[in-house]
Amino acid sequence: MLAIEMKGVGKQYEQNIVEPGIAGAVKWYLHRKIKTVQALKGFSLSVKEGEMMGVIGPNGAGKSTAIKIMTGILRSDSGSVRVLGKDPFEQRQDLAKDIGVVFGQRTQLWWDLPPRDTFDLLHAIYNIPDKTFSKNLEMFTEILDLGPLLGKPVRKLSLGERMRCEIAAALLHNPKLVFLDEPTIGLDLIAKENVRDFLIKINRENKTTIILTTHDMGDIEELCDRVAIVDIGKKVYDGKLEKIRKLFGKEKEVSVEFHSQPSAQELRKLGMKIVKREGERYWFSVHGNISSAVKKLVNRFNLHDIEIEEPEIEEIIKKVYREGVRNAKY
Amino acid sequence: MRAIELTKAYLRINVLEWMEYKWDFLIGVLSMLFMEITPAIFIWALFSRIQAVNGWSFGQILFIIGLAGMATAIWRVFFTGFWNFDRFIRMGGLDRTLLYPINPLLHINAVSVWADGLGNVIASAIILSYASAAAGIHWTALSLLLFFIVSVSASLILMALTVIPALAAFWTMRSAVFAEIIWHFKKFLDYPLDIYGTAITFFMTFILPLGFVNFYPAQIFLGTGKYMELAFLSPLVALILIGLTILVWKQGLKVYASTGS
Ligand SMILES: Nc1ncnc2c1ncn2[C@@H]1O[C@H](COP(=O)(O)OP(=O)(O)OP(=O)(O)O)[C@@H](O)[C@H]1O
Ligand SMILES: [Mg+2]
Repeated sequence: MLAIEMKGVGKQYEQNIVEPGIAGAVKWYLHRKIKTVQALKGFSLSVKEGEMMGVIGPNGAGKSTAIKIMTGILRSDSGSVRVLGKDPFEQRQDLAKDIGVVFGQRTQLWWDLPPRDTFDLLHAIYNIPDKTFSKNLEMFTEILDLGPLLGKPVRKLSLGERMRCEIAAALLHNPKLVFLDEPTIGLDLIAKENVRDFLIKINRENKTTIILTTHDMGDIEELCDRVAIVDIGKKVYDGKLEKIRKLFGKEKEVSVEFHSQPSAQELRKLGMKIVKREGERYWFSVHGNISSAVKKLVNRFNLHDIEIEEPEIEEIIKKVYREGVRNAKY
Repeated sequence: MRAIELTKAYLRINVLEWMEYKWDFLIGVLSMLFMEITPAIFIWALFSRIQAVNGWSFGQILFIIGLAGMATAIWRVFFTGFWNFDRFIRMGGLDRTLLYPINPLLHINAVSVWADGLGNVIASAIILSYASAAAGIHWTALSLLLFFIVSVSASLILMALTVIPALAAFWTMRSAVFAEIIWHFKKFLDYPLDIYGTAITFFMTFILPLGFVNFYPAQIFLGTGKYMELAFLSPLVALILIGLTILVWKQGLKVYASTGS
């Protein structure tokens, strides 16, 4: 069954353009200047139950907007949305029992109280059976290493400590579906590992469906079965992360150290594209058949050293963001 | 029962929060106590020279002040959640609230139980017991029950009249100022409404129905026989205003769903 089904969803925001100062405010009341932003257009996404799905994309792409629509906070202008078989906007309160949400930038923890007190409130709000609550609390405390944090006021926790509590808070009621909007923001390497292990465990043991947005490719590589790339409100890629490398990462780099300076003319004749140069060391970008390019170089020149570099997934994604899928595809 | 469990949980976390700031708590309670008792002392000073204001005796006026005080006290403890609603929206608080399987209107009220309202409770209780003695009110089980209904209704009227303007935040970025303007009209409640003349009385009855907070229902207990057609209407006015609040809230939520914070 599908946990999420979004088809052709469009969402437009209206932003008031107010010039600074009182004069600007008065001017705005007299003559409203409104700029519309198309945050999503023709956005589709389906996620199977039990899947871990990553959503990535540059700032302002529309990731958070998509999450707000899926959770029923915002209503889409067009298209259809089903979440756990429900219309999230019309049945928001009903749906809320079965979903958990973490907004990495915001907290649901009571700022002046220890996280434990918020957990107790959530216990009542979600009507969690006592047994489930204490079992979960115990397990979360162990895996996320919350022991020393539960008694400290939230305002005294570091960002990473708070985030771990935040994730625990969102999962206490065993939601079937979890949305995590940048859950690893500001975490150190160990905390990131903890959080990732935790999510994998929850996903395996409870078959929890997990949707997460992130700017950290490590999250995607370690967690997600599938990734969607969003750009200017549209999904531009949907599939396995590894396939991105195959599709967009065809360009490899060969770095070569020559015995003696090759002439530019000769290099051009061989069809080598120079990326960078430092003394006798040259970096060429090679598209397609690497071995024939290497063969050409070895036959023609006397070489000290040769290295073939595969681009990092980060680099490929950056290229996709920068140039759009169509141009990045070659 | 679920409602009781929830009430307990919300109260508990609020009390825990007060305890984090014990001194603020104490100072808040004391300052509210003094603020609430000041108009009563002023009336007392006034009545050392005169016998009656527009036909109202010291005890009667004191009772009217005390009833407004009790309504304010209940409002202050339980119904102030929307006081900073514009800020709440801007900080993303509403997004979070909408994700709970609970009526958001109730949740927003329940997460802000103001402790300093206890000062108002104490002050009003003192004023009311003085007033009862001075005005010769004899309390019975029935009149106490009536008093309870009246003061809760009155606090709900205050809630609606502060929440509705606060909900303007859905349409304009800043709305706190609207709620404050209405709050200023509450000063009129320190005296019997009919001393102000017809225009203001009309306004405070039919436009901004603050008269139903204390002046009209007070007549039940003072036994004056005046305004009897309006004296029992406070619960109805409260109900109508709450209906209106829910209507505006739903409309606002629709706007929010399309604009976001
Ligand atoms: N409440 C709002 N009112 C007006 N415009 C908004 C609002 N929220 C978001 N936007 C705009 O909609 C677009 C999409 O924003 P969104 O927050 O969904 O992006 P995002 O992919 O989550 O970005 P990031 O990686 O920075 O979190 C942006 O252009 C943003 O400026
Ligand atoms: Mg975002």
